[in-house]
Amino acid sequence: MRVLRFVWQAIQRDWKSGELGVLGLALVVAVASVTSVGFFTDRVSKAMQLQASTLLAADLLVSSSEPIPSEIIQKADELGLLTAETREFPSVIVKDDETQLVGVKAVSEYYPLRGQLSLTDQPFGDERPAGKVPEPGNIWIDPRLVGLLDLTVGDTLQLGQREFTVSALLAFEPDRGGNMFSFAPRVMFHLGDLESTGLVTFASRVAYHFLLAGDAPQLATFSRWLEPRKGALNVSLNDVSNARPEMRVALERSQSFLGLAALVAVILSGAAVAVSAQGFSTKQATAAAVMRSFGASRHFVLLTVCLRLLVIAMFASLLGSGIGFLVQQLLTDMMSNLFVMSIPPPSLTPLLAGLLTGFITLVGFALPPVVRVRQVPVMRVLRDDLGITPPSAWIVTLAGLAAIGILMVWQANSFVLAALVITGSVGALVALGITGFVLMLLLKRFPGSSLTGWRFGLTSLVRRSQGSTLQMAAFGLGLMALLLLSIVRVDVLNAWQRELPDDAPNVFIVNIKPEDAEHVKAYLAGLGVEMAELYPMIRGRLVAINDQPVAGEDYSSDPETERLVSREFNLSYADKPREDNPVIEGEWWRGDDRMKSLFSVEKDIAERLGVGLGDRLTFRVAGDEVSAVINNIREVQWDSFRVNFFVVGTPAAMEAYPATVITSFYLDKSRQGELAALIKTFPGITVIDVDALIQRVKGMMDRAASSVEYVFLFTLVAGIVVLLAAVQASRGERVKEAALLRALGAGRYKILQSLVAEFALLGLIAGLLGATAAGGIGWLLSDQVFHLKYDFNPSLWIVGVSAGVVGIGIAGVMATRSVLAVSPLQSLKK
Amino acid sequence: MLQPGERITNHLPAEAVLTAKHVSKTVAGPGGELTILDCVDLEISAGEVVAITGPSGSGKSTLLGILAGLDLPSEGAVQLLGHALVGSDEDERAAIRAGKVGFVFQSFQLLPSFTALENVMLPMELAGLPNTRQQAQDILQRIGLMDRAAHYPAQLSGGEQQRVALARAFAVKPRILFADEPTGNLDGATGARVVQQMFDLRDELGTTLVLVTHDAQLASRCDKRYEMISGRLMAA
Repeated sequence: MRVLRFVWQAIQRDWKSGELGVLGLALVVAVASVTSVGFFTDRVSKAMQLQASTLLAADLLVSSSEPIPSEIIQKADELGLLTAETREFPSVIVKDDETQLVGVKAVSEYYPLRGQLSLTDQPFGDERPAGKVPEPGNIWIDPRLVGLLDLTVGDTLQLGQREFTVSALLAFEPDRGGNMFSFAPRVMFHLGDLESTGLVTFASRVAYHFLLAGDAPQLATFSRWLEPRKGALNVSLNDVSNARPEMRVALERSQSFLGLAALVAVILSGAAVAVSAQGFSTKQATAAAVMRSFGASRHFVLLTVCLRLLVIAMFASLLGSGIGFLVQQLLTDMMSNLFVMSIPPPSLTPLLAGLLTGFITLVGFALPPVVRVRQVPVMRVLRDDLGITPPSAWIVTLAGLAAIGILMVWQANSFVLAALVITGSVGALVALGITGFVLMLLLKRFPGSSLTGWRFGLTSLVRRSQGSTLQMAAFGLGLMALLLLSIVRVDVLNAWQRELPDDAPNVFIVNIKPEDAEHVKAYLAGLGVEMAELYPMIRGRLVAINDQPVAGEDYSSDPETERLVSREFNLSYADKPREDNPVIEGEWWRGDDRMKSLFSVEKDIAERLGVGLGDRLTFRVAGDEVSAVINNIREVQWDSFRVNFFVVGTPAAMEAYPATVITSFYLDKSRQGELAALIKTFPGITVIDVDALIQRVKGMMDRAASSVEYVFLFTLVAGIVVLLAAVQASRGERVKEAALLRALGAGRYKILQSLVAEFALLGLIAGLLGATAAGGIGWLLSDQVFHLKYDFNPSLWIVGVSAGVVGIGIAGVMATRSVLAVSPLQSLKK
Repeated sequence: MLQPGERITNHLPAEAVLTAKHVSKTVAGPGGELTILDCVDLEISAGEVVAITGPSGSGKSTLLGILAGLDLPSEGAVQLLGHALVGSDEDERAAIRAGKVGFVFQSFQLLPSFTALENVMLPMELAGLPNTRQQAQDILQRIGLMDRAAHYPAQLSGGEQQRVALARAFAVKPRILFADEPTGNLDGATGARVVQQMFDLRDELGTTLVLVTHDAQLASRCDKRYEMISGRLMAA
């Protein structure tokens, strides 16, 4: 009770005197940044997840080759989930005795549950949202059918035993996933009309889909319920993470970026708190000694100091969380126009995260210096020179790293990311220590050291070598964080966005006969498409691995692989390697190897099939078996929208088999109408417009980039506060020293000169080290986490050094300038 | 209320409140071991006023620290208020001091974030005494600084700071008070005023005083005087 009363009085005193102001402010900023990032990323991730859900047209998708079991539908109803049904199968439509193979899709009311269908009245015409499913008796058709069957809106066509009226052209279908090249043109009508077509019989190859949407807890309950029953019920379950690979990559990367933003905020928090706590514990040394001379135990002194910090941390965390919430609200308002749907409200988890962050940061960064007050020699009351010994660098580093580690693994949910940032921080600290040591050695030899002016500023760094090294570390860390935010972030984001440039292919043409290939190319050249690359495409089913027969059922534990193996692969052959398909294992075939039967396999599919270099794959192609040994493994950027293949063979292995040619290219939307003539000339070809899909992927990347930029902006402010905290920490000592110099006759100009020199040099070294560390971390992040090519940006060092010299120079002089305005007597008396 | 100059010690049995036997203190220096205190023996009875004088660096403050239990000797034994200090750990020694030992330091050692009143309240709070605010106000009134109660140390003159330190030292009505150069940072007139107030309070409370001082005039007012010369203590 006595302790609590004492602590409460001490806190009131702290509040009045501003004793813990800087530490409290550092914690407020730290917690505010972590919570605003937490709240914001929570909401943005949810919004992105929702956006990505449009690719399934649902949050969850249950699929089967048989009618969906009634217990699944019943369970979804019980949980109050929104549901819809679709059925898909291949069939033939007839118009004026002409027939065309189509992909039929019968849809129930409420389809799609996520995303929207777009309609148009003529190919490449203006699009409008559908808002509902086709009316009974109506059918929406793929714009490709306009060219193929000379159909227009208002015409009738025959499907099975039923006649339908074409009421619109289907411009966009959100869940048109899977293998886009295997698609026959789409026709879509109301599920209620399906039976009257007479097309669905016992032997029909129908894919049944059951779409679900709703709140996360209900969806999770549903997933948990269905997961163990999937096999027995013969259904597969997909969520967004199993959606199209290019979207999955986009989503994962954006989450990593936002994770990085949170990590940087965590590092800044730690740096700010560590610096403030060091200053606080030094100031507490005398008080601790006086209290103990009057009979207080070490335990009492430590307990009161720790409780004071804890209470301050609690208030700071609450205040920080509140500010964080308000800031994220502002950010969300700014961002809301970027999302199609309204951004979901945040959960309360980030609030708890903020409070815990405040606590962990305090324990990890403030405790090591603060517990030293226990060891202040009580003789300090008689001898001022007996000070507080700073904690062992090992303890400080380990405690700080442990705190950063816990927070990072928790915030970013990624061991790799956490390990990389920790490695970078340790590397930076070691570099700082070594450089600091070397610098001190060099400065000691500095000729003609003087007691005033800029030489004094430089030599005062040496005199305060321990404090200088600590400040250098804080400044270096702060600058590293700022550079990571301002330059590396832009470089990495640009590298990502570069992967999907404005002229990314938006049109695919498939089914080109080899003999027509050159004509098509010439025609495209006439349209201004110069770089259209043509690839042979052969369809084949995987039948054996290392001469052991394989079938889809062998991979029943992995539905996606099961589907891949059950269907036909798109195979190709090539003589030369492609730059955008780097070989990561083995080597591309050269010389005599080109005459052998060899395969190059995409990395992910190799992992899924459990095959590697030297394994033999056998495909059935047009009734023949093609067998070859895997010679190399390639990496493919699926989000590049270029033509890519899981398996590419040597020409020797595959040239003899019937192939069609495929190409992809960029053609401005306004000119795509001109492709109609190409379709007329080569009726066999199929033109696929992926513009809508690509726009959605690009939109997602842009949104992710914007959200990351906003989040980083906030973290940037936190970084500046850290720098100010570091300057503030040494302010007292510097003010006193400058006052002494003035008392001894040094002019204001001389003192200003020495302050500028000291802080500018500190900033220079911190800038160099911060830039090097930021570059290293940027490279590691790009290479190891985001798998992007990172080019070192020389401006990193220019900006780092300039920001260090100017920023820390100005901040340092601003923080200590009061000594020039106040009389030396007043400064010395304090 | 006692009259100024009247000694409470005259009415009490002369029990020893502080004894030091063969106390030595050595520290490791750059040129080998350095002897700061060399076999010091001392006995101080309740109510006595003892001055320890000597040149700078002779070991006066070190001896004061050891006598008060702020530090331990390398050799020898110290008994304070009936408790053996050697062999006790820091917290046990702190518990011996709590509420019974007062200090006045040359550099005042007022806590900068505490007001004058709060500085005076501090030792009473630490000793768990009741009505600390009222008692602190009474003693500030007694030394004529009540109008400065809400001021912070930086807002007080040197003399005022030392008088607040004096009030703080006497606030718990200590049985023994250690003063390390109490006038060392003050001018003559201010120092004399502080000394007078210290003696007045001591007379009122019957506190044993152990003073380390350079001030010959102050030393001359004490019952016993010792001189430290190169770590050795001699009767002056």
